[in-house]
Amino acid sequence: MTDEELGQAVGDFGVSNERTALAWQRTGLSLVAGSAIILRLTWSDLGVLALVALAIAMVLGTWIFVESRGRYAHDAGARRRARSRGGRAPFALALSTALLATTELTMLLVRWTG
Amino acid sequence: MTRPDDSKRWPRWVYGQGEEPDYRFTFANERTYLAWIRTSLALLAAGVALDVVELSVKPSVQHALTLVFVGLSLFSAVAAWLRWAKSERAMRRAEPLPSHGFSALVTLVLVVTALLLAVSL
Repeated sequence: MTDEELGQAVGDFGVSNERTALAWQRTGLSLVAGSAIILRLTWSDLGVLALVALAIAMVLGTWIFVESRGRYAHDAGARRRARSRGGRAPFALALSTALLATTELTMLLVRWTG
Repeated sequence: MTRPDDSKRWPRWVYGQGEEPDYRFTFANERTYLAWIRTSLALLAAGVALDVVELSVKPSVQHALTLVFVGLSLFSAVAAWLRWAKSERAMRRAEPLPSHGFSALVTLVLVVTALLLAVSL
């Protein structure tokens, strides 16, 4: 066994990749649940606008949930990485959350001023 | 070992800098980012709760507090990503982690809104 093979056979320290995958998954689930609640509350005021905004947030939330598996489906962070981790998934998550807050904000302003 | 192709990683102002840090630190940075996103979602939930429940305060105060919570939620979501990106860049460049004032801002706003609500009840 070469040094490299030996290095790959030995597990990395800790389970930080698993903790991180779980953190992604519960955030994704919270986002989808939050989208459903906001949609329920804003539908009567915003109609199709709320549906479109929150459908996007839900799709992104679901993708984030699935993506978290791909991101961490390897023994540990440094090895057998399915794909490189970049800033796109965090950006999509921040965008979805911002979309959710903006929808609620728009609904409040429409209701109070209309 | 499969190394990530840095040229395809986004954003370039983060991944075009320095070298890959210890993956455990990257994961810790991601978990902190995710905690901020969940904080943002919690602030949004607080705003929604203030909007739907009947409180014995003036409607104008309740509306203002609702706007503060939802606005803070929006701000936190955007700031969380910027904080993550700046921290990731600092780690790649082996520099000290940047200081972010927005946690102090969020704390201050929450304390002020809590005091305002307590006085209004």
